[in-house]
Amino acid sequence: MYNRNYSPRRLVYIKAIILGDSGVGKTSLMHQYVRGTFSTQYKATIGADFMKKDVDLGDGRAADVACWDTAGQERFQSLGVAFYRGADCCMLCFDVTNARSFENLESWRDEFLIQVGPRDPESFPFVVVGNKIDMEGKRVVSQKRAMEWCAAKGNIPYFETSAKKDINVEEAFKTVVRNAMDQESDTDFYNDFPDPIRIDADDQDSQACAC
Amino acid sequence: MRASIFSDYCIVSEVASVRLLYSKSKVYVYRSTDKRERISGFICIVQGPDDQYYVAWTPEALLSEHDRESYVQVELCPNFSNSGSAAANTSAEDGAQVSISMLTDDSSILVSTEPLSHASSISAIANYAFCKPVGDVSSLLIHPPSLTQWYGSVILNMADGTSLAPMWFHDDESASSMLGMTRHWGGDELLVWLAHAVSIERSLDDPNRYELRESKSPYVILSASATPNASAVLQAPQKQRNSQSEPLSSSTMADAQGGGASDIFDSAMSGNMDPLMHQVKELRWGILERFSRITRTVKDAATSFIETPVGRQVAPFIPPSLSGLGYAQSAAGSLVKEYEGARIYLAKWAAQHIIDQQHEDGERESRLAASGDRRKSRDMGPMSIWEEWITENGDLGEFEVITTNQTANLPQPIRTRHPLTAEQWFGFFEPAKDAKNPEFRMLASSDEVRKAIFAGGIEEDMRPMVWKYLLEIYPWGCSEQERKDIDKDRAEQYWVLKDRWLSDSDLKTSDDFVEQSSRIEKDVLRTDRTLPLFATDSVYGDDEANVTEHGLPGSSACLEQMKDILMTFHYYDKASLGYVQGMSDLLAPIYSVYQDEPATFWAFTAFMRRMRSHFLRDQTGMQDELTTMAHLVEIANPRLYRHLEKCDASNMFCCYRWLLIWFKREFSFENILRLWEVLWTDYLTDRFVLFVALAILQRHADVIMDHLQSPEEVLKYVQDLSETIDLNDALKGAEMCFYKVRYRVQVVEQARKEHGLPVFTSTKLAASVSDAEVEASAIPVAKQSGAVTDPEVPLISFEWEEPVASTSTSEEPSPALGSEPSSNERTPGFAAENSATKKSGKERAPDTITALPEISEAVHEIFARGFKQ
Repeated sequence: MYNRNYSPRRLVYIKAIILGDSGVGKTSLMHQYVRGTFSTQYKATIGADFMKKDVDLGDGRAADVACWDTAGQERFQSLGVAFYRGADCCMLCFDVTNARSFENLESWRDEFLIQVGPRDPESFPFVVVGNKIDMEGKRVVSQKRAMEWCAAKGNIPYFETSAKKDINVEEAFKTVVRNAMDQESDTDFYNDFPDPIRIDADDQDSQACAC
Repeated sequence: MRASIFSDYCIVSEVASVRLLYSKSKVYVYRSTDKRERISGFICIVQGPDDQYYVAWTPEALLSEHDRESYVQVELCPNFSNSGSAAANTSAEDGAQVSISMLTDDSSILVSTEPLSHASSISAIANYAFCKPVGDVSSLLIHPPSLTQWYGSVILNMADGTSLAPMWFHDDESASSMLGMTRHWGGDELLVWLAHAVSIERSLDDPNRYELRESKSPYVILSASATPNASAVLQAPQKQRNSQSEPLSSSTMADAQGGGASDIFDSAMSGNMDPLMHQVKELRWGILERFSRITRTVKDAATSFIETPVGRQVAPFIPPSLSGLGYAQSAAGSLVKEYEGARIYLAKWAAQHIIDQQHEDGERESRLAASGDRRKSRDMGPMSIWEEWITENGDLGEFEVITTNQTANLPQPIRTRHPLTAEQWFGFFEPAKDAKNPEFRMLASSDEVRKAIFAGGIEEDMRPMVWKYLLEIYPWGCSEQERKDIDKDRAEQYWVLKDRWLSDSDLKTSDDFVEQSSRIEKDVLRTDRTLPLFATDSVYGDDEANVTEHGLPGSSACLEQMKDILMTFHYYDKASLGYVQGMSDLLAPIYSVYQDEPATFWAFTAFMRRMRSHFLRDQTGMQDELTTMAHLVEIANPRLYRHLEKCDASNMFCCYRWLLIWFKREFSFENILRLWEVLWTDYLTDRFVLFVALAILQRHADVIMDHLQSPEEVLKYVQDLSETIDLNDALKGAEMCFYKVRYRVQVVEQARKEHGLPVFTSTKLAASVSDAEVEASAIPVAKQSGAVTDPEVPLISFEWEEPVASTSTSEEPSPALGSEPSSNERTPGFAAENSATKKSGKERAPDTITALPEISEAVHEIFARGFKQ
């Protein structure tokens, strides 16, 4: 058997989808989280893109997280199914200075659940992120209002973030990844691992039937 | 300073003369990852007067024109004639300054010393030159091409523990490959040639390492003396090998000639040069043919590249330019731990060579074009690359021949790289405007004009006018006065349209307006902001302040115009489409050309007419593009298609961004202008953009197949090609792909017709009848050699009989192939792989049934319209 100390951390692959209206800062959140950088020069996302990050949750668990950044116009949602497939968790983003982006969270969530069709939609790991809190004077969505919505949707964790100032970004991602991993271990955790290499029977087989 | 630039390296400088036995051009040493820092040179094997063998590399720049020709001569006719005049020619006036340069003395080509130019820039290059006794080389580290790199490389490890810089064999540029003298990559050749001089054994530890044993006696090449070790290396995979110790050369010869070759061989020895060289080629071919099987196993071993410690060997070579990429931070460490990341990483690393290659191809053509030398501007280099790629990827052993009689030649690409000049453009019109000819109409047919633009684009200054023709704002036959009227009417119309939403105060409070204006603002403010044209101007201050204030970067007068144009478009077109994300990307290039609201608006509106389907709410237009794209890949490169299927990536979502906005994010702004005007010509097809995508995928097919295993990886890899693609290379490739796919579609449709099958599969019916259709189309097909019943072989698979005659028998010394399946002779490119797969195909039972592939309606329609060529 493997030496436990020597074996690498259990690396679980987690696919996280970032959704929300155009311009709420999805790409910025992803870049801030994965690379720790912020730029004002991002382009509108076309289709989808993703970045990966090794995450150490600090509790002995680690995850290989793929953050999927998507186009923000609802028009492109019908493509979502291709990109959402296999999603383990979802970050719903809005802009605290843009009420409409908050109001649209509902439809983003519903559409996502339709497309992904998780076995238990009620407990699917979401996190809600109210971004751009650095623009405090412009805020139109209060923390209270956002938290009420989250509570009504099955106690979705809520974070107020600034991708620009790097406030709460890591916490928001870690939370949703941790929740996704909790789900994983609840259900078919081991299905995500490649088949173990069996060195007994298979090996014999492959040698036996060379003809 | 006249100190020797070679003194540390070159032993040859001290000898009277040496004989050049083998040379290969376009072997590069990379001084850095920058492609401009690559030094092209000749690798050669020489025999000194001491009968010792040397392996040497000399930068091309150090050779005179004459020398270079001589090297190439040897490359084309490797000289291992042992006959004739003793090489006693020297011109070593200055023994300190030498290259390994060539002199021709009667029929013998000699290597001797010759002074070099003293340019100081040369000396830095010369530092890389070397000339080492073969006996000093302890091993070769050989990485064949196409698995992890576009070019193969060879590293010489010396007995003293040092290693020489990797030598990259740019075979597709080298004379012998271009002239079809060899279809094997240079590293294999070098190894085979070295095997003449020294015993070589493949390392048991590292399949890429070849260890050199003791030196052989000098005359081993042509003497009948045994070369057991080399024979073992070279003959190991051969079944009917008589004895291990049988002399390599004569046994190979016997194979090639079916026995009795030694007489020829002997007579050749007595100085009869031409027959010898003839035999030599065959001999070499025979060796290589056998040797290829060894390299095949090397390749197989390398397939599991990253799972082995060998994978780590690439880490030191990873270009620093990649270290900025996301995966690079913990690159070396993650190679072992994180396979997926490592795969993309390695794929990117491999792609670097492709990227460099296409740029080099492009630059070389630019140079040739600039020098105006049409004669020398042979398309051979890039063309042959494409041939190879397409053939290598498309023609696999398990495919079956469905036709062999067609020998039509595919057209040559017509890309010239010369943008249409103002002079040429106005040459299409009536003679200069004067009282007698006031109309100044275009006389040339639109086809002629489109063809010219398709071939090279338009000079920048001409774009505003020419684009109006391409976008059908001006009818082709319109007069000067009509053009003026059109411009005037359109301008007036625009201001009316704009005023309609601008002055509607009710509208401005509507949800739609608020939503769309904020969407358009956000998108415009993030469109091409790095261009000076779209930089924040002084009115709007600096970006930092703007971001703090509004969460968006600052605007400019130009951007405000862009916003207005898009708002006007939104309300002009609202009934059907309105503004959709992505359109700001499509607008920016047009705006940059006109920088005028009405003209930009109408040109954009015209462009959007053809792009409309991409932005439909239900995304059916994009679905259709992607599905058609998948069909094209399937026809052009079935192996790639199957790989994508296996990766769950055959929905072609990796090309989504490419197609949605016509590569806007993939090329530089300037190149987008060029690409779009070419695409707007609709010269070959109005879906030429799909062929551009196909060409780029073809370029990267090997890397994709070798490294990428999930839809995520494919998407990442393809999207990260952004700004690495050479436009001309892609356009030329696209044209080649078009001809290739068209030919294949014709072949299939013809065959289907002959078998009474529907020529194409209607997209609408496909779902309901597909099963029956497949059954019905499973018909017996006349075979050349064997057939396929293997369940592994998908129904849609067959061998494409390549129509390009020049790539087949005429180039290759085929007698040595006598015992091989005839199909081999038709297969240019990397025979090493093909012969192996074909063989396995041949072992299958004959007289079975294969299915004709289906042609989708969309693909059929691309080619259904009258062909221009």
